[in-house]
Amino acid sequence: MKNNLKVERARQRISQQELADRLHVSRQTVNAIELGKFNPSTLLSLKMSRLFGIPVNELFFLEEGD
Amino acid sequence: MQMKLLPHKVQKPAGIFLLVCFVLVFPMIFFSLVAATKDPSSTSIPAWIDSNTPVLARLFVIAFTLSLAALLFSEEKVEDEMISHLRLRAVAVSAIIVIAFKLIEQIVWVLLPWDFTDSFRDIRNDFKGVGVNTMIILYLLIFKRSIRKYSNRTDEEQS
Repeated sequence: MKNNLKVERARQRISQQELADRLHVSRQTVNAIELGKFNPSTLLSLKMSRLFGIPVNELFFLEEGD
Repeated sequence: MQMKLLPHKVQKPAGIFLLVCFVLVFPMIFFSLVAATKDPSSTSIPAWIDSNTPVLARLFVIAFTLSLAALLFSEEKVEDEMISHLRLRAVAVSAIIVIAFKLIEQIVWVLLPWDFTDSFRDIRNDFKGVGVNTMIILYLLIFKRSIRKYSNRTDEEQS
Protein backbone atom coordinates (compact mmCIF):
# COMPACT_ATOMS: atom_id res chain seq x y z
CA MET A 1 0.00 0.00 0.00
CA LYS A 2 1.30 3.45 -0.94
CA ASN A 3 0.42 6.80 0.53
CA ASN A 4 0.59 10.53 -0.05
CA LEU A 5 1.30 11.38 3.53
CA LYS A 6 4.63 13.10 2.95
CA VAL A 7 3.21 15.16 0.11
CA GLU A 8 0.16 16.25 2.12
CA ARG A 9 2.34 17.02 5.10
CA ALA A 10 4.62 19.20 2.97
CA ARG A 11 1.62 20.90 1.37
CA GLN A 12 0.27 21.89 4.75
CA ARG A 13 3.76 22.61 6.14
CA ILE A 14 3.45 20.21 9.07
CA SER A 15 6.47 18.44 10.51
CA GLN A 16 6.43 14.74 11.41
CA GLN A 17 6.53 15.60 15.11
CA GLU A 18 3.64 18.01 14.79
CA LEU A 19 1.57 15.51 12.88
CA ALA A 20 2.40 12.84 15.47
CA ASP A 21 1.33 15.15 18.30
CA ARG A 22 -1.98 15.93 16.62
CA LEU A 23 -2.68 12.24 15.99
CA HIS A 24 -1.47 11.17 19.47
CA VAL A 25 1.10 8.76 18.07
CA SER A 26 4.91 8.74 18.09
CA ARG A 27 7.04 10.33 15.38
CA GLN A 28 8.41 6.85 14.64
CA THR A 29 4.87 5.75 13.74
CA VAL A 30 4.37 8.67 11.32
CA ASN A 31 7.74 7.96 9.74
CA ALA A 32 7.00 4.24 9.43
CA ILE A 33 3.66 4.99 7.74
CA GLU A 34 5.29 7.41 5.27
CA LEU A 35 7.91 4.84 4.37
CA GLY A 36 5.26 2.17 3.90
CA LYS A 37 6.71 0.04 6.69
CA PHE A 38 3.54 0.16 8.77
CA ASN A 39 -0.11 0.23 7.74
CA PRO A 40 -2.24 2.42 10.02
CA SER A 41 -5.51 1.23 11.48
CA THR A 42 -8.83 2.44 10.08
CA LEU A 43 -9.20 4.82 13.01
CA LEU A 44 -5.79 6.42 12.45
CA SER A 45 -6.40 6.66 8.69
CA LEU A 46 -9.69 8.44 9.29
CA LYS A 47 -8.04 10.83 11.74
CA MET A 48 -5.38 11.65 9.13
CA SER A 49 -8.07 12.13 6.50
CA ARG A 50 -9.97 14.55 8.74
CA LEU A 51 -6.81 16.42 9.70
CA PHE A 52 -5.72 16.92 6.07
CA GLY A 53 -9.28 17.51 4.86
CA ILE A 54 -9.10 14.93 2.07
CA PRO A 55 -10.78 11.51 1.62
CA VAL A 56 -8.94 8.43 2.86
CA ASN A 57 -8.61 6.98 -0.65
CA GLU A 58 -6.73 10.10 -1.73
CA LEU A 59 -4.28 9.52 1.07
CA PHE A 60 -3.76 5.74 0.73
CA PHE A 61 -3.68 3.61 -2.46
CA LEU A 62 -3.45 -0.05 -3.22
CA GLU A 63 -0.39 -1.19 -5.17
CA GLU A 64 -0.30 -3.63 -8.12
CA GLY A 65 0.49 -6.68 -6.00
CA ASP A 66 -2.07 -5.92 -3.24
CA MET B 1 -9.65 -4.30 25.64
CA GLN B 2 -6.92 -1.95 26.83
CA MET B 3 -4.45 -3.67 29.16
CA LYS B 4 -3.19 -1.59 32.06
CA LEU B 5 0.62 -1.69 32.09
CA LEU B 6 3.24 -0.68 34.62
CA PRO B 7 4.84 2.78 34.21
CA HIS B 8 7.84 3.10 31.91
CA LYS B 9 10.21 4.00 34.77
CA VAL B 10 10.21 0.42 36.16
CA GLN B 11 12.12 -0.74 33.06
CA LYS B 12 15.41 0.82 34.12
CA PRO B 13 15.88 -0.94 37.51
CA ALA B 14 14.52 -4.21 36.11
CA GLY B 15 16.85 -4.00 33.11
CA ILE B 16 19.86 -3.22 35.29
CA PHE B 17 19.11 -6.18 37.56
CA LEU B 18 18.78 -8.56 34.60
CA LEU B 19 22.02 -7.22 33.13
CA VAL B 20 23.75 -7.94 36.44
CA CYS B 21 22.26 -11.46 36.36
CA PHE B 22 23.57 -12.23 32.91
CA VAL B 23 26.96 -10.59 33.38
CA LEU B 24 27.76 -11.68 36.94
CA VAL B 25 25.44 -14.26 38.44
CA PHE B 26 24.98 -16.77 35.61
CA PRO B 27 28.70 -16.95 34.77
CA MET B 28 29.40 -17.38 38.51
CA ILE B 29 26.93 -20.27 38.70
CA PHE B 30 28.32 -21.76 35.49
CA PHE B 31 31.96 -21.65 36.61
CA SER B 32 31.01 -23.01 40.07
CA LEU B 33 29.31 -25.95 38.38
CA VAL B 34 32.32 -26.53 36.14
CA ALA B 35 34.62 -26.45 39.19
CA ALA B 36 32.32 -28.84 41.05
CA THR B 37 32.27 -31.35 38.17
CA LYS B 38 36.07 -31.30 37.93
CA ASP B 39 36.60 -31.78 41.66
CA PRO B 40 33.42 -32.52 43.63
CA SER B 41 35.21 -32.16 46.96
CA SER B 42 36.25 -28.58 46.35
CA THR B 43 33.99 -25.59 46.05
CA SER B 44 34.67 -22.19 44.58
CA ILE B 45 31.54 -20.78 46.27
CA PRO B 46 32.31 -18.80 49.45
CA ALA B 47 31.20 -20.58 52.64
CA TRP B 48 28.51 -18.03 53.53
CA ILE B 49 26.89 -18.30 50.11
CA ASP B 50 27.17 -22.09 50.15
CA SER B 51 25.43 -22.40 53.54
CA ASN B 52 22.65 -20.00 52.57
CA THR B 53 22.25 -21.23 49.00
CA PRO B 54 18.64 -22.46 49.26
CA VAL B 55 17.49 -19.06 50.63
CA LEU B 56 19.66 -17.05 48.23
CA ALA B 57 18.58 -19.22 45.31
CA ARG B 58 14.91 -18.66 46.13
CA LEU B 59 15.41 -14.91 46.54
CA PHE B 60 17.33 -14.79 43.29
CA VAL B 61 14.64 -16.69 41.37
CA ILE B 62 11.93 -14.40 42.78
CA ALA B 63 13.92 -11.25 41.90
CA PHE B 64 14.73 -12.60 38.42
CA THR B 65 11.09 -13.49 37.75
CA LEU B 66 9.82 -10.12 39.02
CA SER B 67 12.36 -8.27 36.84
CA LEU B 68 11.26 -10.21 33.76
CA ALA B 69 7.63 -9.53 34.62
CA ALA B 70 8.35 -5.81 35.13
CA LEU B 71 9.97 -5.56 31.69
CA LEU B 72 7.21 -7.62 30.12
CA PHE B 73 4.30 -5.66 31.55
CA SER B 74 5.62 -2.09 31.45
CA GLU B 75 4.77 0.67 29.03
CA GLU B 76 7.05 2.14 26.41
CA LYS B 77 7.72 5.90 26.35
CA VAL B 78 4.92 6.38 23.81
CA GLU B 79 2.23 3.72 23.59
CA ASP B 80 0.48 3.81 20.23
CA GLU B 81 -0.85 1.32 17.71
CA MET B 82 2.52 0.66 16.11
CA ILE B 83 3.96 -0.32 19.49
CA SER B 84 0.98 -2.65 20.02
CA HIS B 85 1.59 -4.14 16.58
CA LEU B 86 5.31 -4.69 17.32
CA ARG B 87 4.41 -6.20 20.70
CA LEU B 88 2.03 -8.72 19.15
CA ARG B 89 4.52 -9.62 16.44
CA ALA B 90 7.24 -10.20 19.04
CA VAL B 91 4.89 -12.48 21.03
CA ALA B 92 4.06 -14.49 17.90
CA VAL B 93 7.69 -14.90 16.79
CA SER B 94 8.97 -15.87 20.24
CA ALA B 95 6.09 -18.35 20.70
CA ILE B 96 6.83 -19.96 17.33
CA ILE B 97 10.54 -20.30 18.16
CA VAL B 98 9.86 -21.93 21.54
CA ILE B 99 7.16 -24.22 20.08
CA ALA B 100 9.54 -25.28 17.30
CA PHE B 101 12.23 -26.00 19.87
CA LYS B 102 9.84 -28.10 21.97
CA LEU B 103 8.65 -30.04 18.90
CA ILE B 104 12.22 -30.83 17.86
CA GLU B 105 12.98 -31.84 21.44
CA GLN B 106 10.03 -34.27 21.40
CA ILE B 107 11.19 -35.85 18.14
CA VAL B 108 14.78 -36.16 19.36
CA TRP B 109 13.50 -37.68 22.63
CA VAL B 110 11.63 -40.37 20.71
CA LEU B 111 14.47 -41.11 18.27
CA LEU B 112 17.24 -41.38 20.87
CA PRO B 113 18.54 -44.89 21.58
CA TRP B 114 17.52 -46.23 24.99
CA ASP B 115 20.99 -46.04 26.56
CA PHE B 116 21.10 -42.27 26.02
CA THR B 117 17.59 -41.75 27.35
CA ASP B 118 18.55 -41.37 31.03
CA SER B 119 21.21 -38.74 30.29
CA PHE B 120 18.85 -36.83 28.05
CA ARG B 121 16.11 -37.03 30.67
CA ASP B 122 18.48 -35.38 33.18
CA ILE B 123 19.30 -32.59 30.74
CA ARG B 124 15.61 -32.17 29.98
CA ASN B 125 14.77 -31.89 33.68
CA ASP B 126 17.46 -29.26 34.15
CA PHE B 127 15.83 -27.14 31.44
CA LYS B 128 12.24 -27.58 32.61
CA GLY B 129 11.71 -23.84 32.97
CA VAL B 130 13.27 -23.03 29.64
CA GLY B 131 9.97 -22.68 27.82
CA VAL B 132 8.44 -19.69 29.62
CA ASN B 133 11.61 -17.82 30.56
CA THR B 134 13.13 -18.35 27.12
CA MET B 135 9.97 -17.11 25.47
CA ILE B 136 9.90 -13.98 27.64
CA ILE B 137 13.57 -13.19 26.98
CA LEU B 138 13.13 -13.83 23.23
CA TYR B 139 10.02 -11.63 23.21
CA LEU B 140 11.91 -8.77 24.95
CA LEU B 141 14.88 -9.06 22.58
CA ILE B 142 12.68 -9.08 19.47
CA PHE B 143 10.41 -6.30 20.72
CA LYS B 144 13.22 -3.96 21.82
CA ARG B 145 15.14 -4.61 18.60
CA SER B 146 12.06 -3.73 16.51
CA ILE B 147 11.60 -0.46 18.40
CA ARG B 148 15.29 0.40 18.05
CA LYS B 149 15.15 -0.37 14.32
CA TYR B 150 12.27 2.08 13.82
CA SER B 151 13.96 4.72 16.01
CA ASN B 152 17.20 4.44 14.02
CA ARG B 153 15.28 4.71 10.77
CA THR B 154 13.54 7.84 12.03
CA ASP B 155 16.86 9.39 13.08
CA GLU B 156 18.35 8.63 9.65
CA GLU B 157 15.40 10.27 7.95
CA GLN B 158 15.81 13.35 10.10
CA SER B 159 19.52 13.80 9.39
